[in-house]
Amino acid sequence: MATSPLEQFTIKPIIELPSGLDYTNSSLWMTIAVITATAFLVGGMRKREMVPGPWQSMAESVYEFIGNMIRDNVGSEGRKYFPLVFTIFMFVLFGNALGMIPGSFTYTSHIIVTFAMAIFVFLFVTLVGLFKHGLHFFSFFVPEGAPKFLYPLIIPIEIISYLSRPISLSVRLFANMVAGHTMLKVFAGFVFGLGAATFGVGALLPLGLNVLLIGFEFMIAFIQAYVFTILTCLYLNDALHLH
Amino acid sequence: MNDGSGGDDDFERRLKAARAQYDATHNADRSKDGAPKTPWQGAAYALRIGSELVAALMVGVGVGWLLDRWLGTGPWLMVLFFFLGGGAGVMNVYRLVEGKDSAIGWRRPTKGSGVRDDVDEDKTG
Repeated sequence: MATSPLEQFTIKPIIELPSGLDYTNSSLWMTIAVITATAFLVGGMRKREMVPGPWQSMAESVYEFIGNMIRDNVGSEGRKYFPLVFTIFMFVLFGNALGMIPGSFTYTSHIIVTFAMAIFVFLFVTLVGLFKHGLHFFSFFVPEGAPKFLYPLIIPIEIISYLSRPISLSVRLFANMVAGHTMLKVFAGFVFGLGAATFGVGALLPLGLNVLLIGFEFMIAFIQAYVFTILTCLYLNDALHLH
Repeated sequence: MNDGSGGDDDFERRLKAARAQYDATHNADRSKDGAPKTPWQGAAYALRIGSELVAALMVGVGVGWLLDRWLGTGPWLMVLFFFLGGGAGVMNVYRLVEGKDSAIGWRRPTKGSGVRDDVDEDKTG
């Protein structure tokens, strides 16, 4: 029988270090993601042609994609946060996309990775708001125009709503990656199981489904990176523009 | 008759102005981040709703559980915060669908928009 569909998510140390700071397969794929993303951008922009070739125009279109996202959602004030937003997008996108290589490891399928990124975004955005607006920041947990006697109910709800941001940000990415990759593995298991039982005929259906699912997974890989990034932009916009 | 029609015209004019103002603020918000423009954004938008709902509930229960453990108040704060979290989740989804999802507790920068502000503008205008 095939291995468990969840086995692909196990963390295996590659280089063992004292005090549990192992260099794992997760770290390896993060390193690969950073190297490939850097190579993609630096290599693409190496020639700096006036009329970009295919590689350069890919690098430029990613840049413009994030640039437009920041301009539309944060405004010109968000320009100085471009490096942060762009880095988050590339790291999540390459994590998701590299995870589609058979036999690779998807580091975005671990809640601790996505939560670390989400809590960083959350704390960063909160600090930006605090530095920009001081204690005035907290006045915005009090909703505009609500009757006073509802404050004891509404203010806790607003605070919970605010605290739910890093949770929803991290759980969404993690859950989508785990669910998609598990499903692929389950259907791949069916290919062998049904194929062996029916002399290969039964393998066609799960195989066809898996072809569809792989396409779907590529779409999810992009969309989840997009969602993570656009929410970073929206949160940044709130922190900068509350008044 | 004259009075009536004059009043109607005035009303029509003010209604039109108010609608235009509402559209300007409300739809500006929507086009900004709410309603999807491309299929990609549509899918992204749909995938967000469920997690917004569940995350607030998780935070509510988590906060209640921690407070209970800290204060030793049995299950009661967890029960209370379960409902507050549920309320926050519904509010998250409502804001998302209204196109001002990120505006937790505060208003959009542009034109002081928002449903409540529109009501205020109607009063003053």
